[in-house]
Amino acid sequence: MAILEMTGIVKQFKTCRALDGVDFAVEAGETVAIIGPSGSGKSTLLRCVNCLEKITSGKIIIDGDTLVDTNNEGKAVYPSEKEIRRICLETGMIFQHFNLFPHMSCIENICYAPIKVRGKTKEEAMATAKDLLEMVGLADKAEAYPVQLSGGQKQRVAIARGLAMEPSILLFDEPTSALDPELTGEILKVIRDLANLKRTMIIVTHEMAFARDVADRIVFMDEGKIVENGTPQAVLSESQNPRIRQFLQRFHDVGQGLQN
Amino acid sequence: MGTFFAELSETLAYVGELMPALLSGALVTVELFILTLLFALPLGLPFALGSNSRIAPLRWLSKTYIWLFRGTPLMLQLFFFYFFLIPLINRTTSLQIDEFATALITFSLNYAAYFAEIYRGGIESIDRGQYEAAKSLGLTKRQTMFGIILPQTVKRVLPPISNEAITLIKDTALVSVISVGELLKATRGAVNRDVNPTAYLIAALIYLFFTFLLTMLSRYLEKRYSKYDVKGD
Repeated sequence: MAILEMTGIVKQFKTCRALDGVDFAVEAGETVAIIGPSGSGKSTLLRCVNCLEKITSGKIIIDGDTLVDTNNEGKAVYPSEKEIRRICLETGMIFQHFNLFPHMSCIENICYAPIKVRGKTKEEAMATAKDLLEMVGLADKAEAYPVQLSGGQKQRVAIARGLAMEPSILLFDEPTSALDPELTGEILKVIRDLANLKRTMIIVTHEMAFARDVADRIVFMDEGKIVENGTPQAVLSESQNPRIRQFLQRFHDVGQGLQN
Repeated sequence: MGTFFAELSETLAYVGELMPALLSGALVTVELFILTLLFALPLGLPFALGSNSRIAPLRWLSKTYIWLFRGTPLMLQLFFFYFFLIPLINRTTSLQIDEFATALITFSLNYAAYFAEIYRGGIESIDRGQYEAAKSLGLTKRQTMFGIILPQTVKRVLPPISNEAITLIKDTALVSVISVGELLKATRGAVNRDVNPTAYLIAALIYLFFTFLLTMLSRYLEKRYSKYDVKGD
């Protein structure tokens, strides 16, 4: 059974329709990469999963719980704020700009929500946080403040913070877009390790090579719709869709330009 | 040369005579200053949160409060409380509020309005990403505000708060109009009695000394809160 099911998702902003009837599902253990041009709705789709954006109409089911459904008048109906919070705890978000809490050390960043929200003791939370920092290769930075870290290190702490809440689905919103090119590798490695551990992940990315290597499935979005949805091979190499060819051509050109 | 030293020692002797009266006035000034901050600093917070609230009546109430207290002269507010509101309370209840308490109430309410606006600005300057991160970690609105947003706001509001504090120490001079015996009133008393303006100079030096202390204190606090924040970041 799918761990995430989205059907007929419409997100209408004041002047534009960011999502225009999207059907999207993710199986447990799957790594899905969402690619597409800027403004195609990739990030909006991701943000609808954990309620940072509320949809206009459609239905979202997370791990068997209905986060939102559409009533007879065609309007999306959400449950109480408390219920939304409970359901969305199954998802963890990693942001483009990390969004670490600057007034807390790395370990406090990681422990804060498990203690406040999951009701863990300080000792439990600290032990988990140390393991997670170890996993992302930052065991020695536990007491450092975010301002003392490089972008890549900040993002790794942010991943550890997300994992500490033990979500079923990890959402990555362009996790490497704010980083210097030489720092993206360390993030991609952590995500690859998580994929090998069969964590369920949805990754919005512009890293085509990475998407091809790490994703089980690639979704190509354009103008608020899913245009193609299949294996990396099927979407990146075999698709004849002109929008995809045009989009990939740009990356191809950049690659060639570097070689020449 | 001899007459110069003679005059100097005469002046110093006069200053020495003035000091007890001026210092006891200064003590009242300091008391009013500290107590006003003690009440106004926390009182500003509910009005700051209120004016950003999703609950319309709360928002309306907070904004009206801030508008009233920032929109009229502090002196006028002092007169209003002293000649109208406080006598009414004293007549109709068992409370007996004196001049100093009247000044304290007026100042606290007035400064709370300014602090509320400073807090509101500080809260709004925090990046939206902080709210989103908190929300995605399952924190409630209250946990987000008190655990994530407000602690970061402290550092940002320190400079405008210390600015207000410096204004406050000088504003305390206003309460001489409702005959609270603070520094300026004591000074004017001495000048009128002795027909000698030296006391004004001493008073100025005392006010300057207070603002100097405040400047040092705010510099120390800003430094303390800057450990997680680097300039230009």
